[in-house]
Amino acid sequence: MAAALTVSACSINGMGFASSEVIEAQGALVVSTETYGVALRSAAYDAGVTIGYSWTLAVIPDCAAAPRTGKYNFGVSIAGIRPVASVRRIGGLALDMNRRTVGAMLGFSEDMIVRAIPANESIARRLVLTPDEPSKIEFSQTPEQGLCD
Amino acid sequence: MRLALCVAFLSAGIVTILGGCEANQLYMGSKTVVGVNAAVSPEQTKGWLVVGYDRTFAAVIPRSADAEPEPGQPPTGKQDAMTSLACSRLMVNGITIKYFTESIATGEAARRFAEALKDADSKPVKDFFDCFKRKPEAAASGQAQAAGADR
Repeated sequence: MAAALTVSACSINGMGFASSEVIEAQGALVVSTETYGVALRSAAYDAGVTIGYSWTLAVIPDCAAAPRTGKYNFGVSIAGIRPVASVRRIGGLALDMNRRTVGAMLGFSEDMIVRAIPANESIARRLVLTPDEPSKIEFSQTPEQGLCD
Repeated sequence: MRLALCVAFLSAGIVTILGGCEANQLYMGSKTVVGVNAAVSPEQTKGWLVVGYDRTFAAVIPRSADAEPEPGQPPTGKQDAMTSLACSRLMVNGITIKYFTESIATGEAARRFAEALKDADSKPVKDFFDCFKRKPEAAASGQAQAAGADR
């Protein structure tokens, strides 16, 4: 399927005409994904389409379902794992249709979003985000329950 | 493009009507655009049109939360939200983010951190929330933290 998507210059949820790298940071995993051509994202909190180039850095909790560290030539999917923070740089046309934003962008954009905290929750969280130096990223949260939901 | 925008605004309207206007989650984010961007935020019930360059760093803060009912009693509706203690720092390089830190505590955890700040030994709290640390050298020289590259 990844090969078919690659031939058609498409990717779905980071897999297809894409490349990814998963590295270990302090307290989390960092997934960096580049997509080219048409890239679809289907997660409710992040749904949209990019036509052009995109680079996404997602800081994800080290859950059982998380991908292993390494390089992935056709990208890697992190569907089902909600990032604790993400940064996305896009060059081209982007259409967003998700809970946060509905709209269109033509040009270059950079979005950073940190995972939301429900209004009645008690947590302590610390995040150090260095998009250009992923190995220096730090994350800790107390309590850790619910991070992998 | 025009069709896409019409669909986008229609969808936003529906989401807003169905979802209500008030945020029920706390989150921070930033957005930088160079080009053209037209969008609406269903959670904040606002829209924007950017032609050229724009950078935004924002926190969405809920104003109320579901009140916890007394044992055996029905839900009592909403109460003011939320106790939080937060430090965040964003540094940019050109039009991209170079460094972002966030230390945040909410609810009971925030109250405990705030109480601990009054203690004689508040170092652990200040290590977590580094904006509470005194930085005399920076204050004395009045350095504008990376001279414009820091927001």
